[in-house]
Amino acid sequence: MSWSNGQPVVRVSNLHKYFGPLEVLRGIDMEVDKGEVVVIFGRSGSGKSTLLRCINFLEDPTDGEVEVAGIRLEGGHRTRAKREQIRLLRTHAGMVFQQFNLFPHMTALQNVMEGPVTVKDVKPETAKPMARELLRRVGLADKAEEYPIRLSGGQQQRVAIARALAMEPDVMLFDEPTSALDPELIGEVLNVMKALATELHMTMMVVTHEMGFAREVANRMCFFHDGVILEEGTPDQIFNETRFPETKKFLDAVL
Amino acid sequence: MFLPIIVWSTKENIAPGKIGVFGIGCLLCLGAGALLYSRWAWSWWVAFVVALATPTWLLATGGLTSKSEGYIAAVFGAATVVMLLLGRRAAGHPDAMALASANIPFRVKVGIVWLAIFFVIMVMLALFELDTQWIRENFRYIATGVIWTVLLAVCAIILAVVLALFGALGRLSKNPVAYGITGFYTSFFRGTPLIVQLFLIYLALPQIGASFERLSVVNILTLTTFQAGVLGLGLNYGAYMTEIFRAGIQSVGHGQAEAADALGMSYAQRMRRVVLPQATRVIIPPTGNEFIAMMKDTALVSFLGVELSRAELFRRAQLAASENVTERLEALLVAAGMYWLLTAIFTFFQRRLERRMGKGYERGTQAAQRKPHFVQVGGAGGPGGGAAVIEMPEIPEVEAQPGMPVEPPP
Repeated sequence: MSWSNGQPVVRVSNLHKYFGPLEVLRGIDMEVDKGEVVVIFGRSGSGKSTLLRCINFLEDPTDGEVEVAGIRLEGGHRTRAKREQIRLLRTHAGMVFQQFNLFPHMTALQNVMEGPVTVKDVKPETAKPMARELLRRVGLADKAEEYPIRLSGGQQQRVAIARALAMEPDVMLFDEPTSALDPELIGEVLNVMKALATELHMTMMVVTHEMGFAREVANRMCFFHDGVILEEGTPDQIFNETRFPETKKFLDAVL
Repeated sequence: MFLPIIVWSTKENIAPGKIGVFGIGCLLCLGAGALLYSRWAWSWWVAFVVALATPTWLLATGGLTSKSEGYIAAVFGAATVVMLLLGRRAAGHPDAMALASANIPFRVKVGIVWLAIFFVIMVMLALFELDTQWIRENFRYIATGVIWTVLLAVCAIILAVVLALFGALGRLSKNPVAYGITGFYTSFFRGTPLIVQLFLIYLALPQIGASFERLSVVNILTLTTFQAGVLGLGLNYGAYMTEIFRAGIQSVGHGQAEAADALGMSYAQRMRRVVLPQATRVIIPPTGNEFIAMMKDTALVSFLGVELSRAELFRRAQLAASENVTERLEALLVAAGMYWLLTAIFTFFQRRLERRMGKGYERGTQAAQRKPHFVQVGGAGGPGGGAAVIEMPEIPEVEAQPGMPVEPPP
């Protein structure tokens, strides 16, 4: 692998995405360094989720280039060879969804083991203690044998985080991880994410409206507006030295 | 009530006058029963007198010609009297009857209805004077056909499931070849009758096989009736089940496929580990229905002229009856009873399987409440005997029924 620790983990250059005639992403350039926590925020429909989904090719970028952990892929049509590359890329990028998307026919433990065992051919005997350790880290050691339906939304999302971590990704992508949660359950998920950033120094890209979390944890914040990054900076710059009226308006509405 | 009369009247040794007498007796009983729903307390005494008088009158006028008919009349009369005694205090109070009826579980009522149906059937069969001796002698031979029927259905359903799986994946595929082939398959086998397909496979394929032989290729297209039956049933049901499987796969949320993709799974891994296990839950119940339907359609294979030793139920019934034309009813009743028994058994197991598949989808506390209720209604023995499983919700029923045990009015 050509990728070394000095290089950015994620690099996006000139990324365009069309849904039919609608241009959702209009030329995004972005780099995320190792250990960096980037919070992406903006109005709904501004393209922030689409960017995340383009990075691990859940959506195919129409044009441009995505590089994750040294695996560089062009946008446009999928070829047979590219499909394999995409799979490889995805093993380096863990994804956490708004709706959790846990596998309902598996217990929490099986959910966490699923990635390593099926995709990386890790032996179940090896994966099991690993998965237990991850569940313990997200505070769910006692829920290992429960099926997702028996877990609260916050617990489900924490299992989903553990499931993504089990692949030992180089970057974690969070797509509005707390938007589907009841207000009292948001804290437990944010705490787990905070611990990921501060204790494991995980590289993270987080699409969220939780500005408190952003202020506390983010190294950098990107404000999305109409498919471009309108404003970018440290939380301090964004909150205290807001440059654009659109950003100001959004922050006023959210805070 | 009237069916036995019709059956009875077909017997040669009954004079038309006696049929009239019997009919009037039945009408009187019905009238007295209906009267019980009125507000007149004396209606009970009318019913009681009628219940005692009718059999007596039948006996006196010589309406009963044989011993068995005497027994039937006695059972009817005794049952009526017992029920009337139980309901003595409710007579003339329709509201009390309705209230008391509401206390009796729905299942018990349905059970009583089933028992009544079986009783009427048994009476009819008794009046037909079935040749029980013949049934005893031939039962074993006909019932052995169950083995071949089940074997045929099991082999065919396995083939059908495999075909349906690939058919569904093809129908959901973006590959034009896969989509086209599966489209042709489902269209053809759903668009032609099963019996035509069976004959095509059994009679027409050897013709193609013969031309292969001319090209000195081994002729594999001449099939035994069993092979042709499995192939025909499997292909036909596979085409129908393709739609079931397709719907099942589509019922799995899009987020599941995305989550699998995001972990880096391949198409095959995603299907095997994530989508199909969840789709199975949706697929199992209708597949069970198809299997039960197929078990009955195996009777069509008998038209291919199965060898004697491998004949399935229906064929055996026909063969057994062909030796003696007068025993057709007995033979077909045995076959029908066996089919019924088979489907009842498989329905029972299907329900159990269905419940087991539900794990991971029900929260512990709610699962118990949501569990469906089952009632096993055992049929009386004999050729018409069988058992059926009826699923029913518990609905409080407020309709009154005559002769139910009734609480005294307050």
